[in-house]
Amino acid sequence: MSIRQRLGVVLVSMAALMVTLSMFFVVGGPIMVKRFARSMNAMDAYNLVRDYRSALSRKHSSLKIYLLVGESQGLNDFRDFSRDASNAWEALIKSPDLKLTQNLNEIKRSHESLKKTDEAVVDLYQRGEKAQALKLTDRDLFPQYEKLFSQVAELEKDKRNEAAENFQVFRKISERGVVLIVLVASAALVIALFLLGTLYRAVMRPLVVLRTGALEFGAGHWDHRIQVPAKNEFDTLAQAFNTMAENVRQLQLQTIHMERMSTVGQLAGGVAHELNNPLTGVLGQTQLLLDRTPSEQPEWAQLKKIEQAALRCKRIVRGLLDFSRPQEGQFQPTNINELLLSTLELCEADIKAGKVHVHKELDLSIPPINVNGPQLEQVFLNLITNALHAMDNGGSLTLKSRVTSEELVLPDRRIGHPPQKRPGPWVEITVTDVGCGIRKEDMTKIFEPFFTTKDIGKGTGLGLAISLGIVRTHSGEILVESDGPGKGTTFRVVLPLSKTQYTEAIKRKEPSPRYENPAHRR
Amino acid sequence: MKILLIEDDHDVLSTLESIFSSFYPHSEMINIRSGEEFLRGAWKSETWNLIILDLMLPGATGFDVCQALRNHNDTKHVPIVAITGYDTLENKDRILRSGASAYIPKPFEIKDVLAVIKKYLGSASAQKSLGRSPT
Repeated sequence: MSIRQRLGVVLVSMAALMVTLSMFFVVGGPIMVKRFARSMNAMDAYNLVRDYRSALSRKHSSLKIYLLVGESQGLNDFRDFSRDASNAWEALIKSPDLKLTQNLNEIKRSHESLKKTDEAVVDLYQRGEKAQALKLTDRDLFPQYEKLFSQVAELEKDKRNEAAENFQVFRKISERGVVLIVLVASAALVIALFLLGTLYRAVMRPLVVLRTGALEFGAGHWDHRIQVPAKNEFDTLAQAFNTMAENVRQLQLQTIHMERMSTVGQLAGGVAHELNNPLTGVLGQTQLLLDRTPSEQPEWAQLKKIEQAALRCKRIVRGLLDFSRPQEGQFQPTNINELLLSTLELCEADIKAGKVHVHKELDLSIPPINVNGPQLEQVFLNLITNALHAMDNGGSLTLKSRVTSEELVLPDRRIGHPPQKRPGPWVEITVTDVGCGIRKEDMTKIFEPFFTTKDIGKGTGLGLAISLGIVRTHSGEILVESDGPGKGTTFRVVLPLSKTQYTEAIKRKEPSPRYENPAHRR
Repeated sequence: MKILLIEDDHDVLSTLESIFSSFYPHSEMINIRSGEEFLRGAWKSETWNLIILDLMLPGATGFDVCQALRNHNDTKHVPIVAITGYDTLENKDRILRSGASAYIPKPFEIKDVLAVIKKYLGSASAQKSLGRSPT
């Protein structure tokens, strides 16, 4: 799981937990409040009923006393208590909770009729009709009181039970709610800690590895590789670091290689130069001996061999010096076609002598490119000379130049790397001959220093090695194609071109201006 | 015939001496082994017919010696043949501009050296018969 996904999960989980907890309060709260309210209301109702019953009871008692004793004080008390009972009743029927009670109407009727009967009895008593009053009291009033009492008691009981019930429910809900909240909160905490824990690990473990890796790289250990024990963004990062380290290592190796080559080159140059002095002695003295030795004598042949060996040494040393000398010339905008033509001129004599026909297909729209003129001239000279040498008995030499935007598969300069695709655009110069060709097994070797297929004494085998070095300094490449012995060879020099230069070349192109081989050539 | 050889390598020196003794037997060879030795005034106002100068000398360079020779009245017109083991266009260009009359890279073939010497001293056989002759 990627870190991003993990973080997402953590955030979503936390949000879900928060929402769940909130839901409890949002949903559970009102429920609890409602229950509690109901319980409270029931309590209130119960209190009201109880107050009424008390008031009624006092009224009842005071009436009994009055009827018994007959004092005016008793009547006042009765009146007072009667009023109290009425008030209590008013309060009772006003209660919203009690409004819903079914038997309230019945109680109301009882209450009303009781009041009437009360009045009637008191009235009779006051008029002095005690016996009537008592009779009415026994027959109607007290039974009515009883009835009312029992009704009210019933109601009271109901309300009390209701209150108690609701309170129970409320308590149960509260308790359950608390338990649930505690459970959910704990679960939430545990999940949160777990998720954060895994997130922490998912981040910290790779980070530690990365940190170690970075420190290794910082210390210059470029063969260290970062192995991240995860398949997430850190892995991608680690791979990027590893790729970078590989590139640096390659660069390092290449630099060391180049330095070594440079040292070898310098050494070779020094040694070569030193060799020239004793070689002078060998060659000179041998030739002096040859001069005074008659050719009939057997020693002459041997001396001749020494001379040839010495001359060969001279050529090898010459080649070595060429290979190792510091490069001449500077990078400047140069017209490649002109360079080709001037090189051809240098070879004119050899071309004529070798009876070689030169065919040119030069794209004149190629703009000047930044190259080291003298060095590239050396390359062209090398290729043309090789071509001429490959055609002992005449033939044709074709020189072409063009711009191309094709992607090329070129050898990778880095050690041990496969060929790479490199996009254009390119300037391409080809030198084609119809001579002895190159054998397949020699194709990779021809660019190696000192490799030559020429006869002993002809050529040092360094030309192509030097040429390749020069072209690679220009970020270009030399490619070779040959269909085999006797079938000719084509050397392709490709030099990188900028997109602007390519566009310029395309713009310059008129309907294919070609520098064809003119009939008359100087 | 006085030949000045400014060369420090014994192989080259002996070869040159062999050449001269073979083809110009009446020539007198004077050898100086370093540019410094030369510039310190070892030339004793001699009249030389030919100077052979190696460019890679210990101390002062062949180029400096060449210029000094060209600047001095006694040697202004003496042919100077420059020889060197480090054959580059740069060296060739520089020494010819410093006043050398000819340039021969080492190792040289006898025929090449003889051709140059002949140009300045006349042919060998002529020398043999004529003996010493000042320029």
